[in-house]
Amino acid sequence: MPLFPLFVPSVLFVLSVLFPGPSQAETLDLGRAIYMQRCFWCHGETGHGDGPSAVGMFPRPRDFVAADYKIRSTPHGHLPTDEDLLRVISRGIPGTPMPAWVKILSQEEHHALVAYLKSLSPRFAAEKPQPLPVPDGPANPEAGKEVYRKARCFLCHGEAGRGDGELTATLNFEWGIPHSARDFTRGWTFKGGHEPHDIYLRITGGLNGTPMGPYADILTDQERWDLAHYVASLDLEPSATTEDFLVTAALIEGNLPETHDGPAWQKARMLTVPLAGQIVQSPPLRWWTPSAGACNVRALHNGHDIAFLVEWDDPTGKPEPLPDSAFLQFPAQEGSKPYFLFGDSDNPVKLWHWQAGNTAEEWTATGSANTEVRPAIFQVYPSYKEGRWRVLFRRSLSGEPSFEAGKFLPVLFSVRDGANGESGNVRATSTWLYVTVERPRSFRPWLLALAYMLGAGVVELWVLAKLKS
Amino acid sequence: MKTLHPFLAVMLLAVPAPGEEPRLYNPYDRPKNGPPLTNVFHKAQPLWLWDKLKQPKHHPSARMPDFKFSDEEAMDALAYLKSIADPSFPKQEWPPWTAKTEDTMNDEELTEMMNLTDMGKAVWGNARCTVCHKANGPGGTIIGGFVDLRVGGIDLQIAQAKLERDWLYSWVKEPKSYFLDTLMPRYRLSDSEARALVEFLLRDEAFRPTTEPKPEAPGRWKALDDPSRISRGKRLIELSRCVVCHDIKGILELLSFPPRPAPPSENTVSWLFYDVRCLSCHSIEGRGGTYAPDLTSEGSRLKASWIHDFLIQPDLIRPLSQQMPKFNLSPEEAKTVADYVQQFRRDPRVPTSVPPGEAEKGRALFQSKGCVACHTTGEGPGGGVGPTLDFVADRLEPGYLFHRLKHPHAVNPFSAEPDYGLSDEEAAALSAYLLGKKK
Ligand code: HEC
Ligand code: HEC
Repeated sequence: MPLFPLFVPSVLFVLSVLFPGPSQAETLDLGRAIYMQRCFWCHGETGHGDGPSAVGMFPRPRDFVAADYKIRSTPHGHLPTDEDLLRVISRGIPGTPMPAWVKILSQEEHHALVAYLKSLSPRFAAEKPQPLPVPDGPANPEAGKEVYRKARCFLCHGEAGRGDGELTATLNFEWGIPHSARDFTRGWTFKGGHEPHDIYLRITGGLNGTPMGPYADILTDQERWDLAHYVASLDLEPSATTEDFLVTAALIEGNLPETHDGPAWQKARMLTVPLAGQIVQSPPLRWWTPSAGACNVRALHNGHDIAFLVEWDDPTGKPEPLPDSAFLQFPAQEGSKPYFLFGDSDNPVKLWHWQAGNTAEEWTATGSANTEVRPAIFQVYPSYKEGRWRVLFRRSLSGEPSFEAGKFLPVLFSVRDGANGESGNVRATSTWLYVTVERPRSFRPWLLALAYMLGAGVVELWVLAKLKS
Repeated sequence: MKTLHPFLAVMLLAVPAPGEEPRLYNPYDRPKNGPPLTNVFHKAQPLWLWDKLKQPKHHPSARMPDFKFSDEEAMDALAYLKSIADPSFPKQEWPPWTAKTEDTMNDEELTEMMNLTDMGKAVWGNARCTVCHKANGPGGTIIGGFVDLRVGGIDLQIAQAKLERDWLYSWVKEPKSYFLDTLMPRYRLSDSEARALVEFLLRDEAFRPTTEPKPEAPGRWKALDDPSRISRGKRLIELSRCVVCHDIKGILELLSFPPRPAPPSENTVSWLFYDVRCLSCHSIEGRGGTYAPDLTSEGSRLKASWIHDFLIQPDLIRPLSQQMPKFNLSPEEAKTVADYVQQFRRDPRVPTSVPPGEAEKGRALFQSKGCVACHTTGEGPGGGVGPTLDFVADRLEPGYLFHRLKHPHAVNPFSAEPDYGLSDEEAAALSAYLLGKKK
């Protein structure tokens, strides 16, 4: 159909003459109406980012009059393009109260909002934001790693990219200024997207109004392209799908490790357990913004004892203002599966509870309000390094609950980041999973086989002897 | 008034309408916590700066991250800082002897120097510098307790290894001219007082480093003028994002701040709070420091006349190390502050008057209830646990006295004072008795 390409534009042209689009004034009116209904709560009536809900928010809702936008495809200090604004409105900003509007507002409404936001700052009339070119050639993440060091990204983002750099720690803890550098191992928390293309633009143009400055004049295009791929490569690759609910304690011989990096741990399969904020029970409050998004769990046993190694990222190992803590939760009674938040009155739970500063306690609970604390009958070995907690819990296989081969025992993992204000029921938690222990290799089949062979040999000799005689 | 996050806060210094509560400057609401570095070469000696870059934690009260600079990198950064220092930084005329060490002075110079440092020591004492700053005592001990980190006092033991004379003069005289957002008050020192204080700080052994500095290779700092070093240093300072905490000329600004309002007009209470930085130590409705009493409802408690006199002559009501410094306020200024406190810093729960009571009955109650075990009243013996009440009527508002007698723990939950459950009549009688206790 060679005429088709010509046909479509001409139909569109005729349509646009017959049904003209909304005028600019109408678009602005529509934008303003939606703004006053949806955005004003946070961004304020005049767009200064001082709406009634903005009290105590950090980062503050954007001030549309100052127009210092973070997510741009343009150089540092410049305004965003219309596409940038459309995208950020539609996707929202992860890790902040800024919602994603894609499912709530139509495309037309998105465009009207962009027009309205732009009308709030005189800068848009005066400046013409131009998007930066993004390379599309090959990139070398290994070279990017070297750029990361050379450009001193570690000062804020930490050696391993977990957002625990010394400068960030100083700002947060010495000065109480909560500018936190992004944790690169948690790709889903990136404000402007996690594709190398997005990361390249953030590195090149910086995030206006934050300590994350631009590197356009400091690094070459290729260096930034390599660096973007290196940063993207740091995202935690979940080793298992979320449908995987089974922690298997692998069997080893001899003593269980007391450290977190012994070779024995290679024998255990690592399960990445998603964690979510506790948003069911309040008071004290529903917790939408936990600091940990997942934990890695491995388990080993040696026929006598069982060890769980739980690892999660926490940008702050400091004990202030509240200590970090974590626990494993099991049903207290055989065969029951209690309510996942501290059990219920009929179905108590047992917690192996650890708190930084090395206190280990065993808790029994029948609901969030009813907990009883006893001395621990398990050991803990915690360590904190480069933005990651590793806590090893160890106990005998027998006891309450007891771990047996072939039995599937419910287990739940929960962690709290004190620096994020987490304590009590303000925490990150998994749902119930199951744990089982690998069956010890039994010698009976071998003995039988040996006896059989010996028996067969004896019979054979007897037959041979008979034949000879 | 809400507590604003220091980083988010706008310094609200607009002139209030008559009768409206003035906005008071809170020095903790500042955009950057670090001092500006543009003229740091006029302030400190290169060796000290080098050490600060290399070992930021050397200094117990320092709150700068360790950037892990190599020796070369530290030199590069210094080279850039040196290159941006303003050549027109104010200089003073100093008598020639100030450049000499004590053993090379003649007798006349030595006497002059000793007189000046003696005077400087008196200024140091009156200004209560030791409340925030540390120094070696005569015997090598530390006077004045600790440097409280939040006050950000600079450990003066290193004064002589660090500070430049011209800078020190302008600093003690007009701290804001160097660092607009400093927590340090302006003391209104005269030229001669400032000179005396400078001499004292630069001569007295209390401010000498306890360890001998290593001798420096001659010409070591010549390398700072190398242009390639300067441009490397600029890049390094950019990469280390020093501008997040310091103002540095020539380096791209990253954070955005609301525009700075003009300072309040002089001789208003807002201006006095701005100039003297009262909220570095005191707090009002949750804003400000924690080193001195909260002023939120002091107007219901203290008599305006007493506040006025106290501001002029802060008396010995506390141990030396905790005393309020003398800020050299004029009587009019003291009145402006006292009036503000009286008018706006009130607690609505505290009554403004006392029901009539019989002083004689109050005197008897003072004995029978056992008040005398802890307080003196200037009549016969009394205890020293509670504050003396000899002249209590000069200090406390009558309504407060009554309220406090009725509800000692509502006012101060940690007070050791027992709650006697006094009836209104008893409290009124005791008030009448105590209100006779005047100078
Ligand atoms: C619940 C509060 C809330 C609501 C409602 C809200 N926002 Fe936001 N918005 C925020 C916060 C907080 C930020 C700043 C996030 C940051 O700085 O990381 C923000 C940032 C933005 C930005 C700036 C992105 C950038 O690149 O800097 C835009 C644009 C924006 N919002 C548009 C809107 C629009 C349009 C609406 C209404 C349809 C809206 N917001 C409703 C809280 C809100
Ligand atoms: C001075 C501290 C600092 C340095 C140095 C720094 N960053 Fe950042 N970075 C931040 C902060 C703070 C944020 C988060 C800003 C926000 O969320 O508002 C951030 C965010 C980011 C983001 C996330 C963007 C997004 O979409 O969420 C990327 C990517 C990033 N930085 C990369 C880098 C790289 C690469 C370097 C080194 C070239 C670097 N940063 C150096 C402080 C820093």
